[in-house]
Amino acid sequence: MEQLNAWFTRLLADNEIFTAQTIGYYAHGLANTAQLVLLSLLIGLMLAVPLAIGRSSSRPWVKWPIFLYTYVFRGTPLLIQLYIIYYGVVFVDGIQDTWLWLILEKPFYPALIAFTLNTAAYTTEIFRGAIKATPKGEIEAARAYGMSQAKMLRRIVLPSAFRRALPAYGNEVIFMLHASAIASVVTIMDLTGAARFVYARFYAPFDAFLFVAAIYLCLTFGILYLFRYLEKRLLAHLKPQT
Amino acid sequence: MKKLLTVSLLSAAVLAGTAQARDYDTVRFGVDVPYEPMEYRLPNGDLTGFDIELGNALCDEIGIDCTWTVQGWDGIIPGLLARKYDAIMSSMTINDQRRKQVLFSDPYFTPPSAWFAPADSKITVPSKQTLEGKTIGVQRGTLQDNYATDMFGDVADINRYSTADDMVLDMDAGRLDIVFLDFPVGKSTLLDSNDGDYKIVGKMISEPKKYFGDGFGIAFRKRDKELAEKFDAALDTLKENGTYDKLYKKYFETKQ
Amino acid sequence: MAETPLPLEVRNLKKRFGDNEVLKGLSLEARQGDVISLIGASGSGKSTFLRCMNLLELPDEGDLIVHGESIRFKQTRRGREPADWKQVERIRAKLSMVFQSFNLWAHMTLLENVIEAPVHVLGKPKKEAVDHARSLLERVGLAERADYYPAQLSGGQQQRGAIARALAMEPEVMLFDEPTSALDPELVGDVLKVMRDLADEGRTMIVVTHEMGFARDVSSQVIYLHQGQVEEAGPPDQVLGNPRSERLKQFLAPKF
Repeated sequence: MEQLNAWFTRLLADNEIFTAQTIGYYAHGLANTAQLVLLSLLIGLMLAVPLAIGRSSSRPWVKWPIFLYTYVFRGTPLLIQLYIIYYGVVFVDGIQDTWLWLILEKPFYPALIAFTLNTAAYTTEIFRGAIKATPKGEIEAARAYGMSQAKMLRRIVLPSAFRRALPAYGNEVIFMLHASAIASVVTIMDLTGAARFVYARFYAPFDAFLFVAAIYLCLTFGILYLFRYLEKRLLAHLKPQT
Repeated sequence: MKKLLTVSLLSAAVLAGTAQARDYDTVRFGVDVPYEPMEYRLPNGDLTGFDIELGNALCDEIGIDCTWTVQGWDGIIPGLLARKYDAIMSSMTINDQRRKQVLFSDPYFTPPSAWFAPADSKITVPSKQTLEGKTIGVQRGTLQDNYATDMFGDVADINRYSTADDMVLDMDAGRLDIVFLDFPVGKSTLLDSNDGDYKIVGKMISEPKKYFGDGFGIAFRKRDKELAEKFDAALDTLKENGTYDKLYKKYFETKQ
Repeated sequence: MAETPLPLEVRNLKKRFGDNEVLKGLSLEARQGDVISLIGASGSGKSTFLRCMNLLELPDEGDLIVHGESIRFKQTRRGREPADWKQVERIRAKLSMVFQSFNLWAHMTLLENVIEAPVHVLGKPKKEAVDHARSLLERVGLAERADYYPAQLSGGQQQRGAIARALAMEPEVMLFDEPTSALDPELVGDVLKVMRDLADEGRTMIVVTHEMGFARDVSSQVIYLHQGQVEEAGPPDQVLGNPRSERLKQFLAPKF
């Protein structure tokens, strides 16, 4: 054990790349990535539920604006969305004098906005599909037993839809984690940004990027594990007779 | 018997080939664009700039063709090592760190670095006190990045950009309090094109060598020693015959 | 003299799907304890008729009176619609329906299915609903399956569960839409037995069915529909034992 310790301390002291300073950058990067991804997923999810319900509505003035939104944000690369929200907004005359500048000046909020709008769009479509796939019979039964539209939505359609959407949503979460890697394009020191810093400074692509890839892998593994657990619990009703 | 002869002849040829340095009749340059006035694009898309013109002139003098490949700064040295191009002429400062990876020609240009800030900035001299809490812009992986990070990374926010373009964009947007750049580039992109919006802060910096190195050099793969020597010889010739001075005057009106 | 209102009364119901008039003026009176069987060929409109009674289909003309309360309609651009959906929801809570494909809520256990409407539509306290539900499940022979999900039950078990769910609402009238048509023959008997018991208790039931045995033995009234109209109606031994119309005779004749 002491041998391992000694080796490890020697490794940290000897090598140029994994020093306290750069490990610090990686840790900072991990914190930033986690923050960005978690917040954008959470807010995106909260937005997606009402949007998905609206998207499934029969009223055109509700349905079409939402469709336009999801179409635009799914139909353009996240990188471009990020560019526009961070660099592009500056070309709006006088924006620095408005209150908007408080949130647009630093890169964190523009990135958060871009990621949130993007994931909300994808999640809306996932939920909409799941809502649509609710068995018609179950909806009829809900109506036949006197449930109002709202109650039926809350008690029958949404619980059914969320369970159905779970596998696809798990994919979306993993996707967002990896998509967040572009944050360094707008100077955010996220995980990939830390790797780029080390790479640029020490000309060591393998060391820098393999290390970060390993971290992403661990994070992905955590997400997969979480979703497997959720699926086991929430999709139990689909298991055949035990 | 015949087979053995063929094999030994072939291996001899291969060995002979590797013993000689490779002869280049076309040199591919890697360059990070834009970085005005060293390398940038004209409105019609053509590449131009001090590096480009000097590089082309050097090739003419040596008697070879050269082509230019645009490559982001982030990956410019790995690209050289991966043989995507044969030389880098992209305002790259010669320093010990890079010497470990590449072979440099003699320096062909030695500009200082300078701090640029908006004209109404209260910062007079960059120091840990004046830069505390401020946002500094640098291009990722440059010597200015290393210097700023080591000197002020713990008191200021450092925004690292992939391209100089993005950095100037954010400077114009008001997101940066100050940027640290090669002086000619800052002059060209901030001072000259924005009449009065920006100013230099503090003195221009060329020391310590640990960060600021020994001027711009052309980078080659370590085994291309002969090629580097050819360029060194050509540079001397251009300095003697006035071509260098002409280019210098064209781009940097007043000598630093 | 105050009359106890009829549990269900339908007057002159008409329903059209596009150009096709499916119900051509149907009327029905269900007295307390009546078991009315609706029989007829596919397309005769019997299911549509039943589904109009709890407004899963909206009739274009005609009155619907449940326990003395008449459903109010209004004319809109799209046709005739209920004037007050809250009224419809209230009335539906008094009319439990059992579906051909059971329609249990898949993400809930059997017990949860049975207590769902009493708790969330009628506002019954959960403990009370659970106690009641358990006794109902016991009654239909599914006490040990209370915590199973519908996917884990056979068709017959699901349908009996659905009946328990219907009973939990303590309905005025129970509506059965071909309750055994989707079941394997061996399971049909169990469900019919439960329905027979309900009839014996004096429940008011309207049943769309193909099970002539049930219709003959359990109903108080049989209505034979043909192309949206009542062809024959009356007590079972009259309608089934001594059919007057040719069509009904054909319908009842063994088909092999």
